[in-house]
Amino acid sequence: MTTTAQQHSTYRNPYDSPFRWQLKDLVLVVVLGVVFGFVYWALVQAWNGLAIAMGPAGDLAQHFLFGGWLLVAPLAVAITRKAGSGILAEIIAAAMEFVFLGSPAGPMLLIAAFLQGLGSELPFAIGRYKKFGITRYAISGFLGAFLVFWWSAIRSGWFGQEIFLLRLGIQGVSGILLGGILAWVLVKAIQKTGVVDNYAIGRAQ
Amino acid sequence: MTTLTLQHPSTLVEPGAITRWNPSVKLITLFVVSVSMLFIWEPIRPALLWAALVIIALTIGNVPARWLAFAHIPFIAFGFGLFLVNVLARAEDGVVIGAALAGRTLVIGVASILFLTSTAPVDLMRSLNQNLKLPASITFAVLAGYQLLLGLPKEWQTIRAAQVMRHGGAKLNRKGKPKLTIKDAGRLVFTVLIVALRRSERIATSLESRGFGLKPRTVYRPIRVHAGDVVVGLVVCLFAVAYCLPWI
Repeated sequence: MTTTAQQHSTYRNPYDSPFRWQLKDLVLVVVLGVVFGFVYWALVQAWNGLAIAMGPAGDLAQHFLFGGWLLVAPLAVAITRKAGSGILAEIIAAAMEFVFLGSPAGPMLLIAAFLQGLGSELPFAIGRYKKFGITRYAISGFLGAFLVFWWSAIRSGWFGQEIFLLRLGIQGVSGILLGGILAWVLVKAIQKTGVVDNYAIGRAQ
Repeated sequence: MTTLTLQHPSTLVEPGAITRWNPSVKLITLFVVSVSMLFIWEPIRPALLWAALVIIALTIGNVPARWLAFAHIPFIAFGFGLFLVNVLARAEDGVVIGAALAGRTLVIGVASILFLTSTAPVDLMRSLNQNLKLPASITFAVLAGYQLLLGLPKEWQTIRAAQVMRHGGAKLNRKGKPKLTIKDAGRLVFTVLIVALRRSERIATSLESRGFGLKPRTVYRPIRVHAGDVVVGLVVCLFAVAYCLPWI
């Protein structure tokens, strides 16, 4: 493997640039967004039932699962390695939830999605879409959860509640575990199947 | 095994005046209304607005009363949770703020229902492309993705059937139905994801092979923005802002 890599080292694929989107990158990000939009929506439906059962504890417990809502951004970024792919994937997922499936949060979801995508993508952007270590995923998950936390806090009036810091802590940890580490595991598993070999992630091997 | 299906709310409702309102303008208006609701921190105004919206939904919106009531269940669940936690977590003003948040959830919920029941996804995507100049590659990819999504439940069942076969018949649960363990469910979700990814590459190839992305593009039956669309949008937006802002 190493010898072939050296032979090709003079040739650089122009589509390796994070700013050169191919149509298939775009379609992949959109399809990821659509599929995860549906998964999120299904989660919310299950969640609503649980929230009724748990009563006021349900509102706090939502932070435990929060990281799950961040999953799609690191997947999109890691596979296509394009600037803006994480934000786009989250926004598509939110639009899917809202426009096609119907969500009680309404269009406010789009703003939350933008912040989640921005937070999740930032660490990868700083690594110029070339570094994909597990720590970076963890930071990505944390930032995604952290950025959107303030928006949710404004929207739901969490300021002044006695459990404010508890909320922030749980959400941050959930972001690291579900939105970061789990994404890393998933990307590895997807890469192994070979379906994404024709994308930037496959070329980088 | 019954086939799982997804149905968009707009197919359930008789098209009316709100359906003819330009989808992009409608979406922006909904957005403005929802954002201005964030400035209300008392329960009376959301309650009035909610009542008004319900009346609009039942009359102009042609939304069946029974369906509207069912659609309220998640909003009420969500709003009730917000209300309770604020009552418990805030010593002084918990009841007022909790009720305000619950009311806001209901208002945004009914407004979203009005939007969803009056806007077919295909029309919305065409309008976003033609009126708001969103790239066609994104809007068409979303529609292709939506079609793909509609096929996924069937994919799910096929893969599940294969899974059960391979196990030599599933273990049965108490009701005598095949038992879906967490491990199996994880595998199932992952396989469906891989199927979707594989299909996305195929979609991209077929779009490209049909000359997608070439310019200039012509459109069949363009969606236009009429002066009336914009006027109604502006009036609703101004009303929402005026209704919500002055009493901060």
